[in-house]
Amino acid sequence: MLFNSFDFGLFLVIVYALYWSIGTHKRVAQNALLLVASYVFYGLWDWRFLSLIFLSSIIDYAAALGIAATSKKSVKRWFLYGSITWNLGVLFAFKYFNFFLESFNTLIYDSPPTDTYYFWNVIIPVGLSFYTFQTMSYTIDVYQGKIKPSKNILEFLCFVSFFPQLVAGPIERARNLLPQFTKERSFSLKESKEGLRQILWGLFKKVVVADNVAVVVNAVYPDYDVQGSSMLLYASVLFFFQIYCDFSGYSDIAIGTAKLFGFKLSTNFNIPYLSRSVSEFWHRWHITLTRWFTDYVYAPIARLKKKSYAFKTFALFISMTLIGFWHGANWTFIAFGAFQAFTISIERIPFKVGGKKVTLITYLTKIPLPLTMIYSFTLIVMSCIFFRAESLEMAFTIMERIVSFIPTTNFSFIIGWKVLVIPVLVLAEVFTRSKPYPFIELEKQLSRPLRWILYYTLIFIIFRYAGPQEEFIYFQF
Amino acid sequence: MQDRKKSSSIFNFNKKQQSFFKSVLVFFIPVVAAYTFVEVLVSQLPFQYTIIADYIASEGSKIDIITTGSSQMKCAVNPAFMKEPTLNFGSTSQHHNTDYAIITQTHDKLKNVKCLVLEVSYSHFELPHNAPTFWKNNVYLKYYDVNNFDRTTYFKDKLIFLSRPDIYTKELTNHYLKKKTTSQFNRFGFDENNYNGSFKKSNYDEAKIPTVSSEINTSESLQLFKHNTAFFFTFLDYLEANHINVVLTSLPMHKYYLRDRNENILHRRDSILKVASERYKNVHIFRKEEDTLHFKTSDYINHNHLNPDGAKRYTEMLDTFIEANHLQQ
Repeated sequence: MLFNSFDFGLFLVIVYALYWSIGTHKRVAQNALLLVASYVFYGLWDWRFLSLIFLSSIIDYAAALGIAATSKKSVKRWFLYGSITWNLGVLFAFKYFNFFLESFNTLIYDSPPTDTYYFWNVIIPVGLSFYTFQTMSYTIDVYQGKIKPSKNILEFLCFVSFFPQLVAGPIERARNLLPQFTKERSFSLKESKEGLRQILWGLFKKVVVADNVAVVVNAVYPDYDVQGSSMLLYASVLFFFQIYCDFSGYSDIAIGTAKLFGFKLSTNFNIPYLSRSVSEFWHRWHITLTRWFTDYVYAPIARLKKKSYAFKTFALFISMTLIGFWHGANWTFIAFGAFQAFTISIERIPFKVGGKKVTLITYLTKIPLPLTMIYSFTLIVMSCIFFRAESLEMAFTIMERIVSFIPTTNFSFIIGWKVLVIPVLVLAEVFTRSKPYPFIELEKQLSRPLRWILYYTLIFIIFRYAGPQEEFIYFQF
Repeated sequence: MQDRKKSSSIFNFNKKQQSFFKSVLVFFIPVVAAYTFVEVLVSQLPFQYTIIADYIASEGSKIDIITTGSSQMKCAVNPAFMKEPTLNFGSTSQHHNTDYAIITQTHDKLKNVKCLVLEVSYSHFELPHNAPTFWKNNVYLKYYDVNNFDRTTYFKDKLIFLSRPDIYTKELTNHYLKKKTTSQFNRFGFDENNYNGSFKKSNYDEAKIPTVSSEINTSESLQLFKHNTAFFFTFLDYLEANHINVVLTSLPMHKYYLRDRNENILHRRDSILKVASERYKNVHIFRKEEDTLHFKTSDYINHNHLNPDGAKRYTEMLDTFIEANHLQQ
């Protein structure tokens, strides 16, 4: 069930009405309803994989209880290993098995077998990478003593499968989301209104910007080998906005939907194109994923030799490459991550000026924002080519063609003035950059009639200028 | 605890919630009303599909011949020039999987059909089938009662405007505001005023035509070819089992389009036509693709679409072919 579908609208209205009609004092009943709704939400996509979510939840729930029940470090460790093995095993089996097999074949055979029976013919369960990371962080946090294990199975199942963020995040930490299922939720008029506004803004980003921009990208990229430089560059820039609006639009809808039910989810995007450096970009882009890898991969490695730039860079490469690989089982995603790691490591090289230890980032913060934006945006768009390309060869060909200044004979905006929604989006976000989304607390700035005119205009634009319905890109991860 | 009135209703909301729900309801009433209005306006547009649906409802049981395919077929067959009652299901971008869904799912309404004319264009086998999300599926469902979604359908699947807001907004603007609608549909749903296109813009000037750009698929796909041909033979199996004669036709193309075809795609398509005609006794080939003798530049809308003049000529030739082979019996 897609967030930008009629089905989801209907589903949301029904669940919402039932949820609040139960009464805020009946927390268990509300949680049970959320669990059923979440499983229905997921089951409508493919009910067979409900068992996988359920099994993952039970294993991590039991592992955490096991860790807490014993004082022996070695036993705790075995529970942790069990949980991690299960989660990574599921990820490997469903998402990475064929990739490793194919890569292994390429390595050892001169002409690798292409017969499909060699591969496991299985679809990747939607949201697998999201919920396995969420449950894994829970067990690790319990092991590290950061949180206490949940003793309420219903609350834990809700935490793993909460439908607004189940299939594409934000990837929540147990310490943020789990306690919200244990508390009584009170209906807040303010939060409900904010929730609807954020959903509206998310729909605008997804349906109007991302889906329309996708038309150009999807028209240009398949014929990359005959496209001129300007057309490829244009499509690559648009692709950045496509994934940004697609994913941040999804996050906005998820966060807005959660607000309707009295939950607060983590911020996942913060106008990433305003970054002064690639390092900063990762503090603004898919924030919950970056934090996950920082806390569970980068920090533990970097901590081993705190003052060593080389060791930190090693940790950075490991983390960023894994972030890339998290996105998909393809060398292009690994290259995407490695490219990011390379640029960040350059930005972090320490050198001394006038006795002071500085890095490139020190200078980037002093240069006017538009100039640094050009720098970071160029690098980000380059990395997006890896993200969008189907193979490394394709990515390198596109880059080569862009820098070769091959004339474009048939340059076309394709969707014409619809591309102008990007400047509109950018202006709206830049002028409200201190806020999580442009419409927050709108009643402080606009009277009710003006607000409603704005909402109606946006709804009209969403209906009228909706691009061809595309699945959310991050669903595949 | 928040104030909550005792109620026998399954919904039991406090005052704050009631106030919020009322505001939301008041807010959305104009949205729903406006959308309903737009949907009604769309349904009033002169539309090939509504006319065809009416034709099926009134004369469905008498129809002997069905023609189907893409926009080339839609433009090429005017049932008014067929001796036997004929229905043209051809529609822009319609591929074989949609043709199959239409033919199989309208079978009960069109029980008398003895002959199906199916378009097999030059690159039909190497273009992807219509996806389950194909925007015209809403139209097929609403007007033909054909489900091509590959899933259970719901009320919303019959909403036409939502399926392609951009196209329908343009249609609504042209029809109701600019009064620019040029279509003149006959009672079979064929547009008898369908002349506007790149060739008319060039005044059918032979000197200018070579400079008029055309869209032609030249990219090969063996994967699609395998998939589409397998499906195609399933389609032919169905027609054979139901004792329906089949005319596989390729429609007239302008000489400059013929020149740009990819030879490999062409050869593969031709080999399938040959196999089909050898394997199935009910299959006949009516090939007009390279007929540059009967069809002149002035018969075309553009490189690969006939205008109503060309359609008259093609339809009459098709009618003669069907009659000569007794395929309508």
